[in-house]
Amino acid sequence: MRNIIEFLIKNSHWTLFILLQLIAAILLFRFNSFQGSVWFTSASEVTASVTKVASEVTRYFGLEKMNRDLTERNVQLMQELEYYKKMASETEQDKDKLMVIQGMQEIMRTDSSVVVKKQPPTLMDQSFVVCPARVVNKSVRRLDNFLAIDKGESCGVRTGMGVISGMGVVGIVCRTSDNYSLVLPVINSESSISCKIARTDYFGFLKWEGGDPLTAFMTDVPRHAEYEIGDTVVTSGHSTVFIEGIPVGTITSKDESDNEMSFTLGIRLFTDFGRLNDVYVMTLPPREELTELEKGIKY
Amino acid sequence: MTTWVNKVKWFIILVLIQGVIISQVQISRYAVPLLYVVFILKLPSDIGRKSLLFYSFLLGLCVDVFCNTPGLNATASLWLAMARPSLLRWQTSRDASESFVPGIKSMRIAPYFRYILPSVLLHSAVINIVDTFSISKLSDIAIATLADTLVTVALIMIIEFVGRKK
Repeated sequence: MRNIIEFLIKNSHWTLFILLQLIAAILLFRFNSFQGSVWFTSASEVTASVTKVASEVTRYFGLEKMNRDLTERNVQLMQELEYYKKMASETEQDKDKLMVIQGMQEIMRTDSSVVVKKQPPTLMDQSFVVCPARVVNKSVRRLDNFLAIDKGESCGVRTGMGVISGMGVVGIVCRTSDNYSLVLPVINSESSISCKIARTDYFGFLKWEGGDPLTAFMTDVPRHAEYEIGDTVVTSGHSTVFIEGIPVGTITSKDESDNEMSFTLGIRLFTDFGRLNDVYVMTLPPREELTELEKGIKY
Repeated sequence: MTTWVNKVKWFIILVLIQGVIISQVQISRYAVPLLYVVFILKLPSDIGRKSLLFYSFLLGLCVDVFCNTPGLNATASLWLAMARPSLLRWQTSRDASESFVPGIKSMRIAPYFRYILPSVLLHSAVINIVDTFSISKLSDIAIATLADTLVTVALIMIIEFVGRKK
């Protein structure tokens, strides 16, 4: 007995080590999975108040970018306003012309060989051109689906151009002939479109793995990304294919992926490929031109 | 008395730096600088083993509270505190029996580096092993440990150089 006590006193730092290690182990195995601990939640509240102060300081670092974005948005809205003003005045002028056209349309309806083409809604951003097209063939039920549209090289459609519809993003042109093009839609397992959560700006890739043509996935979303079920996902504008902000879908669920750095979100697509008829092909100016332009602008 | 106040001051500063700045501003998943170990490494050489263990445990626990990882940093700090006396003795000449604060000035640069490198390596290895707690991810653990060690050692050396010039 005395030997044991002597041994303990002689190696008391070992005893302390084992004791503290036991405490640490208990903390590790109990509290990491056990949220009901009062001490650590109250302690966390202390830390939360400290980190809140820190975040309030760091919030200001984003103001410059926020300002620039607001200015850009302002300019864009002003341009839009100008456009509508011009349209309004033109409409005034063309009122009588319109009467004539309406009269002509009446005649055309009786004559079926002449088709009045509906004008597509003009998208306001001047940095890209849209070209209306009609879906002539499509598959929805397979793993690798394709769309065929009735505009081809003769109308300026080239591979790599983005295709959108009134509902949202559709796909990317992957092959063209003179008068038709083949589109790799979102509902193809090879499709991968850069997109982001509209509210919080976190990026990911839009993927589809077969099955329901309305359900896709947003992969490679960083683990710390903030999102809520129901948030809108839009295109990111990081490529020359799509401009920023074209609606993609809403977040419906979170899937655990094997990758520890990211997770996958379930997306309900806005575009219903089952009843897709009218699409627009988007032509973005080449990026070199864009960077040249950006060089000329001084913030 | 002043050294005591100084110690407490550094304790709080390091916990805040680690808990508020480093763990909130995550540069990448790998390479998290574990700057607070500098407190353990720079305790005087003649400190008792038990108080060394106790201070280290307390420091680790405080960092844990901020990072929401109860027990993780405390465990690693304990192991480091256990190994520190031997590591320090290994790098100092035998006749230096008087008390000193480990640093470039008191130990010269090469022995100091040879003292902090294995210390930080041990510390981040324990952190990553306990954190991951899986044998199947050995390569992940190794990469993370090396990255953490590299960043931490670099930071400690920079601080040491800046502090010396003052």
